[in-house]
Amino acid sequence: MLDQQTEFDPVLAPPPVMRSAYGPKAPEQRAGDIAGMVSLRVRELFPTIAEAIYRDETHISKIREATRAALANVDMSMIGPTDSINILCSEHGFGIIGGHAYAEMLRTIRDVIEERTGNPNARLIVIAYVGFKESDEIIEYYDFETYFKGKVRGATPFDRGVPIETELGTLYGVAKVYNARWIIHCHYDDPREIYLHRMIDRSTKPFGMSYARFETRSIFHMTFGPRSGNLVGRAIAESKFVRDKLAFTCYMLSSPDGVTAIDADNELHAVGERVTVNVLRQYGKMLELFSRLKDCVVVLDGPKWPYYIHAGGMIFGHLLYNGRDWWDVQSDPKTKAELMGKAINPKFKAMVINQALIGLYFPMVCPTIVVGEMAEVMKRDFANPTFMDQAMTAPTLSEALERAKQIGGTDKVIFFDGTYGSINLSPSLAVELKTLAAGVDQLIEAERLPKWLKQRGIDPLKHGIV
Amino acid sequence: MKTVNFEIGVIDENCTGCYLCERICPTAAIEMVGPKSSALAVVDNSKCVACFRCIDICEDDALLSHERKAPVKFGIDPASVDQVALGELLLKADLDPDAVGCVCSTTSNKEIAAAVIAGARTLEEVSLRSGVQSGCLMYCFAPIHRLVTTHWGEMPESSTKNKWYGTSQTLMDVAPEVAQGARDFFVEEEQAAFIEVLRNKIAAYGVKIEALQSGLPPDGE
Repeated sequence: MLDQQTEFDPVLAPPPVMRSAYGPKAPEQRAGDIAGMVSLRVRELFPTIAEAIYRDETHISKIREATRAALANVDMSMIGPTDSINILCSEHGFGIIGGHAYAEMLRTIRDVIEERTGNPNARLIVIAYVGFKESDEIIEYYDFETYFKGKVRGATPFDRGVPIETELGTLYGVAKVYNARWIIHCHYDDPREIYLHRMIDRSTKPFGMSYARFETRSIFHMTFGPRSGNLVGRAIAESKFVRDKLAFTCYMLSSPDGVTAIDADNELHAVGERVTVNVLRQYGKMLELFSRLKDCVVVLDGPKWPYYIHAGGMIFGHLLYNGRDWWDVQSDPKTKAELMGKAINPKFKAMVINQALIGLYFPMVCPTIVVGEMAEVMKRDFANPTFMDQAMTAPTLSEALERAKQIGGTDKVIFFDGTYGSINLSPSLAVELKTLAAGVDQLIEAERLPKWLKQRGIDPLKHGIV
Repeated sequence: MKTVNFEIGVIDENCTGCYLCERICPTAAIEMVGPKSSALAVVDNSKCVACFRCIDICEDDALLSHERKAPVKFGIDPASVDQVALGELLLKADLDPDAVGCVCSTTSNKEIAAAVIAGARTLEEVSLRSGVQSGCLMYCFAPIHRLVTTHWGEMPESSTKNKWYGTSQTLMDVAPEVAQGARDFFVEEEQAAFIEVLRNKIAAYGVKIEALQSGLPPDGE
């Protein structure tokens, strides 16, 4: 065991945590406080994963440079000096490596708009998932009030709606999102819940979720199928109402190593195709690697909802629902229940929740131990009212982890604690991942990536993929 | 089915009478009592489904939760209503009986449909009978609205001040020309699979499918 430990890097410090009303106070222990834990670089597993330009705040100037470069090719001549402008951003972008890269992209967009159009009035619209305090927490943490000179507003799916006529009938956006002459669609390509959007037109998804009223979000999730649901976002994005307002789109691109680039375009679908290619290429290998795991104990320890906490750039949802190739969109079973049920990964044997946010349904699929104050927070989780009836508790992360390893019968541990670039884990799991990685690169590059692209009507050769 | 372990209390001295809690409450369990200029929140905990959204929206820390002495359950057994009527409603609404209609309370579409058949016709009534609308207040809206409007013709405003827009399109509402123009979204494939699954499931409720004006195309089309 000691020999194994010396082969690996020390634990990577997770990104800083923005405290939230929806989570516990700072936990006393994190991965670095657990004896014997190490980290494993994702580019050591797969050197073909694109190298990041941003992995922590010391790289912040790279984001500004990349955003300026991407916007240089965008036409802003339609924006008059006194026009109203809403710069739209969504909460998950602030869950990517502490959110500072996304925040800097947004600030830079504001500055470039002013420089190019003489318009100093761009408003930042910070859109929440569901909580009424989320937007205010983000605005305060990143001090957007100061940078945007007071022109910043939070929005929730419960705010007043605006009807949008689409080919699916009337759907509803959030009025605060659309109450401007121009909107700027500012997003990120973190694949997130691939089991829901399937990388089918990912770049229009926010129009059916983040920018939409709760009724429309419900339609996307509950009354359409696992692939057809993406038509909700597409239909809104394609509506005359949105097309008349959308000035341009700007995306923060990533790989499991971190933020890799900024992309921008006046044409939403042009960005969309590039985002699709980037995500399928950059994340497919780690997804396949997760599917090969034999057994492990999972620790959730980050300031987002459980599905969305990263380990080496991969959200926990990617491990939880890893029983199928989600990007193969041509072999679905007949019902969503069948699709999701068979997709739950049976290979993790126990779970520890050290910190996460509440408010999103989360199934208990294995013995789960909740640490310290998090247990009290989870008792009041309105989306999981009986979770703590089944969960165990422990006063410290160390004790919880020891018990989870006993219950799970394994010493392999993976931390989902917000990292990109490296995974914090036990040496035993690091050894296993390195072994399991053999052949994955070839499988994805030569077989799956071309298939995934062709299934989405994208010519691999156009993007240099043979 | 929602198991409720908590109830809501009000700290009167913190309440500023902003009405936000009354407006967000899905079951009208909160009422502002008193003259409009000095009204205070009052909670009827027999109607509280513990979504905690009142606590979330309150900017004055005027609401808090206490553990109940014993949990309360909000729910309905689908077997308690006429099974043919239940099957017909789900078929006409184009909803899978067994699919989860409310993720927070893990309530199925057939449970929501049973609440509707049992008499619920507002969002508030469906919530109190089935346990839905007791968490995020978001994702279960479309199945509820779809079932209520299919059964009753409309979903009236209830005594709750919680506002909504009446939309609940489903996969089966996508017009053929739209589906054909969006092949990347597999609409036609999913519609065909859904029809097959729905027919099989609904037959188990004793529904004579061929006798219904369900709008479903005949087999083979």
